Amino acid sequence: MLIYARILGETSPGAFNLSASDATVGQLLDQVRAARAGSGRSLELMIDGAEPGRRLADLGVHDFDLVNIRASGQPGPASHSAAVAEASQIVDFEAIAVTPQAGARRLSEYEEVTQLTQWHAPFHIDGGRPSQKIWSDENSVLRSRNWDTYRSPDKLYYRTYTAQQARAERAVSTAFRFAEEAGQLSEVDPARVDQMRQLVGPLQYPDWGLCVVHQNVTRFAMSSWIAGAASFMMFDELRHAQLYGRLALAYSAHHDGFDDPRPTWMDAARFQPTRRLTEELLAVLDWGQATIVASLLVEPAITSTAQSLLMAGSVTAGDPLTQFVCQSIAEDKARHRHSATEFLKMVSDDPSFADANRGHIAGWVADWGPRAIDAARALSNRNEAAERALGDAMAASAEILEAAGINAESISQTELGASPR
Amino acid sequence: MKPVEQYQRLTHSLHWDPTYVPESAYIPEEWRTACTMPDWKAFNDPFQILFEDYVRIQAEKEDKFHAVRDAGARFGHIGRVDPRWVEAMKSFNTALTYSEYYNYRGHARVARFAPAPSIRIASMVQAMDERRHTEAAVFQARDYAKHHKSGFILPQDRIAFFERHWYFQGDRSFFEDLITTDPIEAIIGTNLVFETAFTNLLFIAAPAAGVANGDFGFGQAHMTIQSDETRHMALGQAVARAMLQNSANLELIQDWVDKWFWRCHRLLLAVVGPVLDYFPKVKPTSYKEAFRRYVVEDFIQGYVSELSQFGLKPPRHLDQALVELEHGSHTIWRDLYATRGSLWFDVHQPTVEDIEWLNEKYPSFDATHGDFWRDVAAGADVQADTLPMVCDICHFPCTFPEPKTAVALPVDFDGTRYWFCSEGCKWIFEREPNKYRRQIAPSALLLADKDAAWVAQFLNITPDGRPLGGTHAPEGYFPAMPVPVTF
Repeated sequence: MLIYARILGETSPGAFNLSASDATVGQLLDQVRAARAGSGRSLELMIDGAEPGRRLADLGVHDFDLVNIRASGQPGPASHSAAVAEASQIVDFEAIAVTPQAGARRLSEYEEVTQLTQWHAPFHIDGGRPSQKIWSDENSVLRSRNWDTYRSPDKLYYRTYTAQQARAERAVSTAFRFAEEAGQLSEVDPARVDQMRQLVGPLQYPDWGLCVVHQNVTRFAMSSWIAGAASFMMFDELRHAQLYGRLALAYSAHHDGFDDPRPTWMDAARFQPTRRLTEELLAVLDWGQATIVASLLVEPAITSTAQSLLMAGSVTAGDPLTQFVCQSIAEDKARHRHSATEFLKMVSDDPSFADANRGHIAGWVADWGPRAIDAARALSNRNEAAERALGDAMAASAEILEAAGINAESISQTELGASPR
Repeated sequence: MKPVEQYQRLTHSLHWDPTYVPESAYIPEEWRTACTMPDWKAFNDPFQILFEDYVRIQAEKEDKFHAVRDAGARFGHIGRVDPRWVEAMKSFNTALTYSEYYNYRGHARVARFAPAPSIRIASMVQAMDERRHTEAAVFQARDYAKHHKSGFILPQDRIAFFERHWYFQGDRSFFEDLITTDPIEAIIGTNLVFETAFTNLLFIAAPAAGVANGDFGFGQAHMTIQSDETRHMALGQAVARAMLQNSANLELIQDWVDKWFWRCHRLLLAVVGPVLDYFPKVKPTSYKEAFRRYVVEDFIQGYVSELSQFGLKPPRHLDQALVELEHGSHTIWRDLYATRGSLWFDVHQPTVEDIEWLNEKYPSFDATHGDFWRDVAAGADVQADTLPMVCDICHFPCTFPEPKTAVALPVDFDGTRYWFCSEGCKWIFEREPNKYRRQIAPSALLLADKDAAWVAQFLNITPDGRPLGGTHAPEGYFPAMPVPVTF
């Protein structure tokens, strides 16, 4: 029975844990007297009829109630309670300290700023509703014995990420400036301009979709390691969407039809499977599923196809800028796939949940893989080079998945051509 | 194309309304805001920044921050920071590291579920900023650990302490509340109330105290953090204004301002109050003065007054906050002093000079708190020998405004009795009792019958600041996770 009590006008309420559920007034006052503020004093529970032998419950005092006590006389010499006496014992810290494992090493800067910044259950807030849970296993069907074992191969953290991307953006901006100053895009082959008109603006949308997907992962991932990698993917995808947009704006300075890509994205037949796929991915709130599907199926399929279409022949058509920008984007995307591959390895090798995790992932591959391929093929508009690039990307994803023990036939056995290996 | 149009083309226009999945699948009802706006797409974030500019500006800030760190290490500044200030940083840095981390994850949530494309972009950028602030706090901890003789330890060695010690439960509960709110409430709570009104206490008043005590790195770090905060404040103010232009939102916005004002007041009074009033040897400003300047004059008399044209009123518990202001930091320092045996930072007995300063800044100090410190000076044992009643909202002890007149207000909900330290916390509970159902047993039950060694292992840090490297917990309670020890 937990009773809160305070000596009126002297102390703030303290907690007194009475072992008996039918505790008496006397037992409570004995505990209060054992504490310093009540020591050696005459104490009186300020409830009518509060005789020492009366049960607190009979006086209407129940678990978690607060009672006021009147104290007279000065506190006596310190006569601490048994609990305090015990607390003041000297603890042999050497005896209870955990000996570090042999070979313990200094943490890297990546580890120092990423490790254990996400705190653990039980949480103070859990309203029972999904939106009122802090971090919960329920936000993904994937399970891990220890989510903190994830490490991103790029080992990026904010300091290195911003430095790296500031360098990348400086390079890209220089390319944009050179192209503008040289009037490069005014001289581009008209057929190429037409192709870009159909493609480059709308391509900002799938990457914005990926950005939103990674926002979700960043919120719900179960460790600071995973959230860290996801947040850099999230921000990179904003970069990519803006780079496609900047390419469209650069073309619009010299050519008509680049101002508003939305109608093409919303209505053009070649984009509709990609839009459907992206929207369906946006509706996946399972952060583990979103990570696997986005980075190992949807993104490789769409990016490989899109970049093949954008880059093939761009230099010879008078547009080296697009080639340069796409390569910069491709470097980020490769980093994302590596990060996702490490995540895949972690969950598919988990000592407790490997089989169940592999089962879920195999289901996602069978479901999403063919649709990702179909969407990318529609985007390619039967362009052979783009389909080969798609085939290469899917073969690479299949290899990653199969190495993790996942059946990836649905993406490895397709009619797609592939580059000779 | 004008820069504004170009910005919108590269940010807001990235969003489209899905047609292949229903909006309820894209943003389920559970996650949507209760606010309404005729056209969310018409909202413009005021501090527009593209990826290209963001990484350039932030990389420059990082360079400056790390240059000051390097200089501090190379020329020995860090080692010469006044020891009392470093004890402040042990407390402050523990709270700040995880708070910033929560804000990072919380703003990713706002980015995902906010209704306006521009809010989503701005919140994503803010999430990145908060990630930066987390790292800055860790780097600072690392500098103290490496270059100061105070026995500083890194966050990964003190996470269990943060998760379990009573003093940090207020911080935990605050940010857990924030990360589980309506997305617009998160903007009002964080960007408008916390960052516009209160972070000046954290990032201007506290760094001024740091610099006065030789901690130039802290000053520099928080100067760059405050420049991020400026962006966040602009978003909060713009969102509040836009929401209030629709009178249907007034009641909600008022409630959120009231709620987060009180939550911020309670948290900062307890955590930043001692950082300004007690820890530093040289004290440039009192918590009360800083609160009056930044919260009352700048925020309430300035910004909230300006919004009164839309019907917004000053926070409903402002008067109680002002009453508590006279006593709060003294009360919490007494509580910390009485439990200093479980803390890894030093909570000192105020010196004669400290007492003189406290009397000057807080005229009622001597009448209310003077006897306590005179007893301590006379050799009285004031070590806490009972566990306190803890507020079910803010999770600080029910000890405010000061122990003799401590407020404790009950509410019975669903067969359970809850207790609150103030009208403000009680009001917050009564608005959403389901959200604040008690999840963790009071420490009086949790720690019943546990010996000192058990408690030490539970907290995982010895009072002299050594991580024990392992931990344990009640069955089914905190995970018995291995906590690394950094060497």
